[in-house]
Amino acid sequence: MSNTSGNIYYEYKIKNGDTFSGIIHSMFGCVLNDTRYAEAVRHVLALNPQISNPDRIRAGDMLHLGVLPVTPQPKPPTIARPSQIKPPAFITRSVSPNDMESFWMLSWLEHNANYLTIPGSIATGAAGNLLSPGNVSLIKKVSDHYADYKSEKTTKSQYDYRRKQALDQLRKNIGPVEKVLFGNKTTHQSIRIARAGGIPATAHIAKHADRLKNLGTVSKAGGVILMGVGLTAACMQIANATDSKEKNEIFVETITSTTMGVGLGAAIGLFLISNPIGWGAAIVLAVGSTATSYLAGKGVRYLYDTYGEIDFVEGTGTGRMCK
Amino acid sequence: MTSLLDDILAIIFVTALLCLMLSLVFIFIMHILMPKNVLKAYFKEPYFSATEITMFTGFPFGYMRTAMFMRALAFPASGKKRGVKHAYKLAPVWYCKASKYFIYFFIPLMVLLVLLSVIFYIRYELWK
Repeated sequence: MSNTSGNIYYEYKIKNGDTFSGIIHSMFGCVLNDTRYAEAVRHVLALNPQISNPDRIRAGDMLHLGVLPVTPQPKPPTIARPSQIKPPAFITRSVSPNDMESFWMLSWLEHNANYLTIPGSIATGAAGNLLSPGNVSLIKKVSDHYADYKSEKTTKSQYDYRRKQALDQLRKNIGPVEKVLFGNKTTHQSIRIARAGGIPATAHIAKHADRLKNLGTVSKAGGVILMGVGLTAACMQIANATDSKEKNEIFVETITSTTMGVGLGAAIGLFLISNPIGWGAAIVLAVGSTATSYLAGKGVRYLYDTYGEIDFVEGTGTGRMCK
Repeated sequence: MTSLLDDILAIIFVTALLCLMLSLVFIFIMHILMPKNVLKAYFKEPYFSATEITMFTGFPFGYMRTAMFMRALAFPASGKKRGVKHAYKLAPVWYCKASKYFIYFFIPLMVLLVLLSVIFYIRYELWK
């Protein structure tokens, strides 16, 4: 979104318990005595002329939050290893390199999600799990814990323990496949956006989580369409076949391949409960089951030609339907 | 002219296919009888991703969700990674047992069918 002066912002709904300084802290990483705190306050008030007194904000009101003007950064190296990059503002320096890597993957995904959303998320096979609201809420949790620690509501050891719990769960959710996919990618630009802009990674991630849910709907509809197309094509082939034997061969091939496909889907379901997989692996399984269904169909076609005597097409009324 | 082995394999293949059709009917029945409280408690985030929830709800992939939960209920350890290993506590004992025996039957059946599909596809290619 942008206002009349062209500043880009996004809307944040004020929650119960939020304070203006707390929002500044969680969104921009600035506390009261930071050099950029006053700048962040000026910037937010400029975007929200309706706020006359920042100490009197109300839950439910909408706040416009935008990118802070940043000082030019030196040009980043072409390839930056995670260990060479400063961590984002909301992660403390005491975080181990393994923990930071998880956030950088998510920041990278957030930064590149426009390119990944439709074909890429299928190709990478990882985005569906990475961008789930469950993972988004874990990132928010760490940010909230850090804010509590910085405002002295919790001790450092409490913060470390809670952060570790959330990150362990996040790492478990992400899994090893996604780490392999994203581990070597540079995230330098994503980190710059997350730090300097003050827009939390979660805003973009949540937005793209919705897009991925839509992908699931599209995939489901695609499956129905493909099945319908396949059966229609078989019906047309039966109608065009002149020989009764050929009609029956097509019929048994279609029935067998469809049944095998459905059966293999159930078998994949048995596998999936203990092995959550991303879209890449899902496509591999889908292709494998399609190929096996095809083999089964052709095999039964051969069997019918060798042994077949029953006229299934006439017996089931398919001949009358597919004319 | 077919050999005795060909005849036996053909009978096994056709019988296995008919068993598969009956298995799918069984899964459909189990889909209808799936305990609602299991789905309510576990078919949601963070156990399943948003994409999985959308994909496996309703026609035509809802039965895959049923298969997933049948295994989780029959073999609780299989649900450990997703965190659904206690789901069996919400399902009737008969449902868990039926799922277990079905899976014991279904997996070897599918393995057999895949093998026979390959064998008869090779025969088809030679016959073509």
